[in-house]
Amino acid sequence: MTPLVRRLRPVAVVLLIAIPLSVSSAADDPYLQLLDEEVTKVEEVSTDTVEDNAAGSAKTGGARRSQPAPSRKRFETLLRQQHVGTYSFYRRLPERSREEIFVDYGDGASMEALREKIVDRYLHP
Amino acid sequence: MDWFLRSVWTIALISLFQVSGVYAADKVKVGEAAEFIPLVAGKPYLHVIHEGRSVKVQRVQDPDYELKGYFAKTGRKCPPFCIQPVTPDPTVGTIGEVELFDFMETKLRDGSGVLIDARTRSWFRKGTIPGSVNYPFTLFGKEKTDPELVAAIKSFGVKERGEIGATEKLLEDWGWSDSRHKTEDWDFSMAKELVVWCNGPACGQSPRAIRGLLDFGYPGDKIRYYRGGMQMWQLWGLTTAVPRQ
Repeated sequence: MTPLVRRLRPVAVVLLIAIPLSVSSAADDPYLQLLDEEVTKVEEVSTDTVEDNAAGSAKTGGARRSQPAPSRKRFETLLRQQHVGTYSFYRRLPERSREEIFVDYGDGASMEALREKIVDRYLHP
Repeated sequence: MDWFLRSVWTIALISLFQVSGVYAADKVKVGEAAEFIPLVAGKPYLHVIHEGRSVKVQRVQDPDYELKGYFAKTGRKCPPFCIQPVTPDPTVGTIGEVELFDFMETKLRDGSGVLIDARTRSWFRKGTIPGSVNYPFTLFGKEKTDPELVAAIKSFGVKERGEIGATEKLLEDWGWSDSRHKTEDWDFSMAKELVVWCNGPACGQSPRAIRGLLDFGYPGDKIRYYRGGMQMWQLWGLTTAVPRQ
């Protein structure tokens, strides 16, 4: 046995004891183990399916998502150019409502419906 | 002739009332959007930012929809999946869905709150409540000096106190300086409000996370427990999101 091997032997012994201990401390936590077993029973539901289910239109929702996302800036420009009065109300809405209206626009809501909603949000904040 | 004219007028008036009545009934139906199932009365849906995109949170609109799968089950092995008390600690408040909607639209939106999915990574990957970030409960059970835990705590707006001056210490001891949200090492004055949740009333992961946070010194009045968790969220047919990675 070379002197180097002799010197490293205690280190190897310590490692041999320490490694299995550290691994087992994570793997042997019974609660974590049961959680890992339990999670295999859960079915993954994709984001799109769930969102589309919620909207009540699984297929159309998926198709809509494949189209390029509408730009908010473009929507606001369109609103300003075509309905300047409604736009002045829209400008005064809190960001939360503006975002909501833009999402409706992205979902395909008609401009009439959007205008009605803007006025409604403005009058009933 | 007079009698005839009076009869015609009466019939005309009755018809007019009937027509307007029908119109009013139709209008109510249209106005109330009778078939739509909102989150709560007057709130059809809301939006939260989830992984950088706006996600619409709403309920399943099919009135015949029934929950199926894992979260429809009524029984699980107990222990460990036992029914949990209404709160994991008396200092921590418990909330329901309505309060969670409100939290999503206020504190979560303006960045003064964090919605924590306290389940292990494998559960999170199966789907989460939109707007949630995953901090597994195991993180909050680590040593207080653990870098990962410290980084998480700091991300909640908690500041390290460093050296405390003798005067400051004295003022705090005498109660002249507000030390309600301070420990020796950490200042929780600006700490964000946390809403912590897991799989539902029979899940122990978020209660463990909450106890870990309290052990660290996080003030109980800045933590909320959404006990309903994923089970109740799905029971109400609310939108879930699967993490991209």
